[in-house]
Amino acid sequence: MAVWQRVDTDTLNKPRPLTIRGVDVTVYFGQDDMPVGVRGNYDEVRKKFVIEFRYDVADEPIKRVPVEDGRVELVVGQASDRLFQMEFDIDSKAISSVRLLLPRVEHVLSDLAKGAPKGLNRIDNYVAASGAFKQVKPQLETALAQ
Amino acid sequence: MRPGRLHTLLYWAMRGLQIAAIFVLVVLTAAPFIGLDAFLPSLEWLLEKHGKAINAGLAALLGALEIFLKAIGRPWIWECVKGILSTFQRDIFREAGDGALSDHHRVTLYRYQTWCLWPKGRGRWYWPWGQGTSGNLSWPWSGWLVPVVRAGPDTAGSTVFLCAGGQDFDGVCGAAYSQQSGTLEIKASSLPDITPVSTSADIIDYAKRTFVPEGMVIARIKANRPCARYFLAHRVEVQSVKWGVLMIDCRSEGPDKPTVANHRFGQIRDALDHLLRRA
Repeated sequence: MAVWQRVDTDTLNKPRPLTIRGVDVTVYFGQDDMPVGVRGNYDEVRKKFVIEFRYDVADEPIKRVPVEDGRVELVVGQASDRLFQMEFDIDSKAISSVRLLLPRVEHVLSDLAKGAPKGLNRIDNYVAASGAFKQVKPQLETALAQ
Repeated sequence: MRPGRLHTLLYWAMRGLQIAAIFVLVVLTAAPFIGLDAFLPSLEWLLEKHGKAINAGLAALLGALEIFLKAIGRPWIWECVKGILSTFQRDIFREAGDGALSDHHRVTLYRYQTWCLWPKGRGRWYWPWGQGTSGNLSWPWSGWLVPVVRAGPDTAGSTVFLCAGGQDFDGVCGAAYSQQSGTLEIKASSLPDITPVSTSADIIDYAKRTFVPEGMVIARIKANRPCARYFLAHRVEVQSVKWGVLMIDCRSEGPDKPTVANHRFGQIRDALDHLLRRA
């Protein structure tokens, strides 16, 4: 099993400006929205590449949401819609496949951050997950190449 | 019901009544077998005539008491929550002295509830729910953020904020609960300093920037209560479901760094989750 790549939440959680009812405020990610670890694994049996996000929260029941015409499956919290896993159909663990896959993960995450599919309502978490993935991408790439 | 002495007294009074009812039920059930009715002829008569009704009544009383006790929650849990919040308050306001902590550096836990029968200090006597800052009439079932625990000794929040969903909310805690972001901050530099001699323009500006009706700010000034200059609101989740808001407000510039408060909140969040799910 691959090791978790640690996310620097201080770097991730920069203050962001937001206007609410014409008033300028500053917002931060909630502590339960920020992944503290990311890792990638290739599931040989299911022929899937799995990206996992770890949080400092108690476990909760999950649900699966297919996106991109069913080629990607998101595993999210049943009550919170928090993103725990992303599963991509991929035939081999070859380095070339993985290199092609990582930009795809980034693309799906930015799409999620721009507007979540129907039934998912945790945009801030998806923005945080996207930022966390970008942060640990080089380490993930190195870990997967080994 | 708000935690406090009355809550503790009521909880233990009801718990005592519950134990007494169980004792009576056990004695009445066991009376024919242990020969108690032979000693008390009137008990034998009572059991023969009204035994079923008494048993049913006692069982109904026990059920009702259990529901009531569950609804008001256990006092020890609220005492623990208050203790955690008081430590949190001391941690994030290290520069403040003890005396200044109570009303000038506050940490208050608000719980979201759909119903609120009497939101104190909002509207007139004939319509206590008043109007939201959006202008819509509020209803008892509109959705409310009710203060349940405030850090520090002998202090309790009393202001209830509307939280009807979407943009229909009052107060910084209403804004924090209605947004996607987990933490919301309003800095002292963006708020006018409200004093008894503040101009009406300042009062209007302050009310707009803190999402409250102007009347609420004026009432605070008249009651000689300070208006906070810094706000930091954290969304509180219990079992991954939105539960309420932890509100930090103070008269000064705010905690040393919001990130410190965010870190500290991260440390107490798990304990709050475990306690509040039993409250």
